[in-house]
Amino acid sequence: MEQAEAKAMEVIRQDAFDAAAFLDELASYPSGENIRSCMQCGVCTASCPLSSKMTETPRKIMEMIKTGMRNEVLASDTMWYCASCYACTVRCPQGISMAEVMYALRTIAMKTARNLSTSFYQSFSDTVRRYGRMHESDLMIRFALRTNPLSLLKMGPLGVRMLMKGKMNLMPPSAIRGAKEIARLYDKVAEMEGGA
Amino acid sequence: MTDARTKGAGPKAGLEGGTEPEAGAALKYSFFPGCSLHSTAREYHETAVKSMAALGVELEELEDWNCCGATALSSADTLLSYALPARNLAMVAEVGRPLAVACNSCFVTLNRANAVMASDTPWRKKVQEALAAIGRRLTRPVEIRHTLHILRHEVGLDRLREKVTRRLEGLKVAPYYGCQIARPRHQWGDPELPVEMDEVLAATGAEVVRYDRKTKCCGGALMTTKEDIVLSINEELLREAKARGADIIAVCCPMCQMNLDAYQGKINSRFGTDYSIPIVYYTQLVGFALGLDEAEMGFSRGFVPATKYLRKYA
Repeated sequence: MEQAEAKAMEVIRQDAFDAAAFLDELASYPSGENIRSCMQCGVCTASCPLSSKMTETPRKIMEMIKTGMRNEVLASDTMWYCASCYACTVRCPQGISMAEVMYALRTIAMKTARNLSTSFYQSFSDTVRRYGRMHESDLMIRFALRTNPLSLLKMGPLGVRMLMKGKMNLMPPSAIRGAKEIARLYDKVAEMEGGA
Repeated sequence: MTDARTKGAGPKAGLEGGTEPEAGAALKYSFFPGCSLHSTAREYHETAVKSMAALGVELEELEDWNCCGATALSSADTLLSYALPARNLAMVAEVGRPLAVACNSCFVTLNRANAVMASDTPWRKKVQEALAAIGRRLTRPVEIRHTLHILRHEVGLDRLREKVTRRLEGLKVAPYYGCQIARPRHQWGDPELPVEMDEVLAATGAEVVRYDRKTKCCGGALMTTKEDIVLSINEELLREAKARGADIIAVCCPMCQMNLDAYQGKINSRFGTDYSIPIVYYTQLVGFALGLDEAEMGFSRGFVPATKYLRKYA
């Protein structure tokens, strides 16, 4: 075998391996089992209220997943536009939960990507870890500190109106009695995932 | 528990020694308000509890409940997004009553965890292992109901109609369900064109207008990260309501209420529109129709007050 041919063979095998590995990874998530049966009908894209804003539509992302374009998929903005409305999911003729695929892609991308969305989800998670429940002002401060502290000024007027309508709590909620339990749950999950 | 076997079963189904509730008998649920009902959706909390009580349904708040994690945790960490709601479900199982949920987002998140507990994937064991570390135990799924479903299917339209003292004749209401009460498939309701809220509102005497976008998504928490597109989605929702001649929009989810109401001013300035459509929870209208104190129904809590449409019925 010529050297060039050997190299080409190697690339072919590696691509096939990558594609299978990415599919396996996503299929291992809850509700991910049907992911291989996508037939590219595009019902997900047609049903999605946000697909027109995505650089890659849900249908295209599915094809990219199938062909093992892991880096390109994770760098895409598609999953950050998903509102989890499950319109795609209830219509998919192959029983694929696209909304869950989007969640899975997010959790994988969360490990490396940094953008407005990852900052928001991380801030939300940190607030819940601290109090056991949501606390909007705490979340917004964490989010602003992660992204743009000046954005707090922009959010200010809405916050004040919410306060006046009795729709927001200025004081942090007293943490729930089980707050320590929640923190322990976070630690345990981190330990289980670290060990995986 | 989304399969056909439990379809139409009473709230005591699945509990030891449970029998079908007698017609008119008191119904009692554990209640998961969720974080929004303690802040942005305070009027939903108050009116859900009061209206249901007036209809003979007791919603007993689950003690020391924690945030369900919503879409944020499902995005941040898979195992945690199941373990957090599972702690609540474990506490529900201990109480031994079915669970009532009012917030669509909590409803979908708790159901999502419930589905994993009903599956035989490795995730079920992982969730159980995580729960064991905090001394909690959940061996099987619990019964979960949306308060709208309880009202429509457990209380029933006849009982509701019987108890209405202020018929909301002439009030034109667009029924907006949002997405997560309807999808993915739950025990009740069509995933795209449900009718439960339509029926409940009609039973109060209100005129329910046709509203084809009833389960189109409001964008939910994407208002924080993708504001431009979410504003335009909400503009479309308001546009149809106006075109259908609705006075107000009735909702059953704190995300929908917040996006349509608190951002209505911003939508008007962004798109050059002049919407002034109050966004109220269906429980506010039901409670009001049941003759409860108008002042306690929170009609002035909205950024776009609903008071002017309702005063004449008081």
